[in-house]
Amino acid sequence: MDKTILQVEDLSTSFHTERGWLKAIDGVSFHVYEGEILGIVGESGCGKSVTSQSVMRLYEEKRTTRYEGKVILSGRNLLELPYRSMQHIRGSEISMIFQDALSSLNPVLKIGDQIMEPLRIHQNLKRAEARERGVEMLRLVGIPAPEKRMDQYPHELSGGMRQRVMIAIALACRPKLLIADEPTTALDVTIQAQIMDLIVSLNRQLNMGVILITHDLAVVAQTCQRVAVMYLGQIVEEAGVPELFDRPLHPYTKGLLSSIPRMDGDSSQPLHVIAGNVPLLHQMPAGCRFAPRCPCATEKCRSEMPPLREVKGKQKVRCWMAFGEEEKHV
Amino acid sequence: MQTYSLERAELKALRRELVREQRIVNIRRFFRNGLSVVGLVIVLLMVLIAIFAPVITGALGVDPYTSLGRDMRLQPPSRAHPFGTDNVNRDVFARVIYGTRISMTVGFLVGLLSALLGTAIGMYATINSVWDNILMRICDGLKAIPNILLAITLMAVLGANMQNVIISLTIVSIPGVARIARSQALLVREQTYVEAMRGAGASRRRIMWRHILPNILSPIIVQMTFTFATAIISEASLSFLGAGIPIPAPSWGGMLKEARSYVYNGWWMVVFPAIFTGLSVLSFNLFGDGLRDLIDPLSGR
Amino acid sequence: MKKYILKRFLTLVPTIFIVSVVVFLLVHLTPGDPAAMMLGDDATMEDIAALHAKLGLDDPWLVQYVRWVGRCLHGDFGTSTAVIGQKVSDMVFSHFRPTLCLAIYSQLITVLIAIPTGVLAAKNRGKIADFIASVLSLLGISLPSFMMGLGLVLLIAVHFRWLPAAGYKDLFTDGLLPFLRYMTLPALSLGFIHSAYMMRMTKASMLEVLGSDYIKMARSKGVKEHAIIGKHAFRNALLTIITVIGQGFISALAGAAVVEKLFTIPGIGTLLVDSIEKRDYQVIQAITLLIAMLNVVINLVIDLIYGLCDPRIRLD
Repeated sequence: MDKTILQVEDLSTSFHTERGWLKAIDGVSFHVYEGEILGIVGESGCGKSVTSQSVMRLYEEKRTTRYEGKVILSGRNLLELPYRSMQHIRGSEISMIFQDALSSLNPVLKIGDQIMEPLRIHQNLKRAEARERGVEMLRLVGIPAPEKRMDQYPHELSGGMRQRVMIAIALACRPKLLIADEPTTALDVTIQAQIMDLIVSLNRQLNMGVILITHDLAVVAQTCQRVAVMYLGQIVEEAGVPELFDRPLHPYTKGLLSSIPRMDGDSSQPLHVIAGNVPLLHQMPAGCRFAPRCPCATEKCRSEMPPLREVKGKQKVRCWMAFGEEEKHV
Repeated sequence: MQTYSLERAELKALRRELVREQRIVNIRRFFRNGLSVVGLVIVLLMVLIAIFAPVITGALGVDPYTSLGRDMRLQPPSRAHPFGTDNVNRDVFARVIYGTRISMTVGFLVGLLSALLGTAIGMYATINSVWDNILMRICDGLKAIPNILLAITLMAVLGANMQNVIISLTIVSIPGVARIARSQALLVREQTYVEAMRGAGASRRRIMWRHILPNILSPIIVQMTFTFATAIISEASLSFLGAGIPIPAPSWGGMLKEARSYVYNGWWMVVFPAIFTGLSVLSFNLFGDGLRDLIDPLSGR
Repeated sequence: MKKYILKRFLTLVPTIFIVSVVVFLLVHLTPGDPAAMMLGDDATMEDIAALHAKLGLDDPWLVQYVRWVGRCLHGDFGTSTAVIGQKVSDMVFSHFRPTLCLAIYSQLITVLIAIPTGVLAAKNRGKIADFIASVLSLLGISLPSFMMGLGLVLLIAVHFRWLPAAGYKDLFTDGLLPFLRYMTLPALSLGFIHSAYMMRMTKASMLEVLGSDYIKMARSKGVKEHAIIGKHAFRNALLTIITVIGQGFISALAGAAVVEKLFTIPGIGTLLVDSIEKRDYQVIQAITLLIAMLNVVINLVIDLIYGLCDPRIRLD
């Protein structure tokens, strides 16, 4: 029996800008099971990062940010918690790792100070105990000579090592859920693979849920059990990884899949490119958000927004055409 | 699935549309920022006062140099003399109004001259590394002497008069402008279209004046408004020390120097020139802030 | 670190050279004959020619420059042309203490006002603290120090009669309380301008740091807000603030001329202004050189402190 650890329902986040309130993500719903890796994919600017940071409520300026919906972790709606309790959840129950480890580690603090910090805050450990646990964590993420690293500064480490350090910091308190926001984008290809392997093995070892945010479908195929595809602040398709790659339903997903270069493909053929650009947030189309770029959009697509609906087993999609096909099949 | 791409013309139109929209947003932002509008209004007001000084004081029948007679010494503000009279029986209002002329002239000329010379120096510094080293080391050397001190020393050497005030304040302001011009020119030069121009065989001089110069003008103009404000302060400070514009010319700093001895029995001699100085400097700073936000929305606050 | 210090020292050489040339030329371009001025109106042509020869005024500029630099390096800045027989170095030295005390006191006030307000303004963006900080910083940038001083004199010395309007009491010979009584207004007027700038810079660098990824990371670790500000953000912002403090100290030394004149404090600023009236160019030259050199040295010290605070520089 799969146990749900995180349930996001109808989450919307708006930011106040000079053009008024803009919804960066609109009605996002998904859930994460214990011990699974959920991928969230999409182009840059589609709201992947906003989604993950909203889950942790990292946008705290009340005057400029507005959350709607629910983020339920162990029966509590995080969006309604007082700030203090939220601080207690961050780093102990949910942790996050970011794209660029160099800029995400404080340059003037030693690695040791940064890894001991969550341990001392959340588990009230003494300095010596926290240090011991910190060394243990560094060893767990595969850093050689961890005692020595504790007294070094972030800039003294290589890119891959820094990313490992960040993972060690995030996992120090053994959270139930890890959010990894493009964890390998800033790294070399060989190191990318090492870091992904590390995340997958830690996911199994510690039985924690992982939300992997990426724009790389190849990474999703290798590591995730389920995947949600985002476009312009909405989830347009959600499915198990095999189903999605076998039978993508949304035209956007199809486009994404056919733009992956393939080893066995005909290299003389140009890569597929999805036409057009992502529209700006304040020029949102009225109907389906993908309609302006969609090769098979109809009048209905342009005027009416499709809901995210379950079509085949556990596959969900937000597309009138896909609903139509499904009905034909029935 | 079909793939198509936007036509060139379409792309161009889209870009133009975006640029136009950004410009409207910028202008709206400038006006929504009430403070910069207040700054602009006061700047314009000061310029008008400077131009029409004789008309304004003429309407009240006062002038900045004539003594009003011994019984008019240190009179507090009244209807006939709204800012009172000073220790040598002159009308303070007329002197303050004429003082606007001095401050605006000094500010404008120092701003303009330092912008012209500083830009030229900054641009020439980008020609090659030898020039760059020579010019920038000289600028560093000049900057090592604090501005007000350099201005005082220059005035001591040149002699106190308005022309020399403008010359020394211009010399003091040039290194700052030159630095900005240089760094901006280097930034622009790295951009692809300049590379393309060079590839297409455009001469270095043509690239410098036709392509780089127009692109570095905005920050130079912003710097000009700040130089304007600093020049007003520096002129007032120099005149206050007796190293600026000599008496009896009605410079605000000079008036404050005289007022220093009368703080106990002639507060109006202090307050009115001070308010005008502070207000004009403030308004140029506010206006400059607004301009900078307009050009570069990410900088500043 | 050694390499860093050495590199930093080498960049000083051209700056010091240019400064010395500028200061040397400043005085040598002066219209008028210093020998004639020293001897007064009733000197004969022979007297003047003799003094010329004695002072080496007929030598080429390059020779004069080298000789001047050599003497400056020995601490000999020549003799005053206004006060006969007085050594310039003695004059400057005896006027230096009031200026130094004033500059240090004003910097203390500056730091105490500016850094807390700047941090608060950055933390509570768009709230009252931020608004007050903006107003204060605008005022500070727009009011020349002598106007600030005149305003304080009018309000606190003339209207309320709390503190004296002018005068000087020495910290070491007169004691702390008289010093504070007499120097608080000058120090406030000198420090206020710079505190506005420091406040702006503190706020700006705090905002920049608070927007950085490692602050986001710290928040995602559950670090409490006061630790985010104090431990994570302020330490990084401090790097900028140290630079601003150094600049402030220099601008206090340089700006002292105006404030000392206003409050009749016998410091090097007053000496400088008096020397302009007396056309005592040797003194003007010495003071300009001294402050420019102090500026260079303080900037060097700041860079070294910077190197100590920022671990990233240590390896270079």
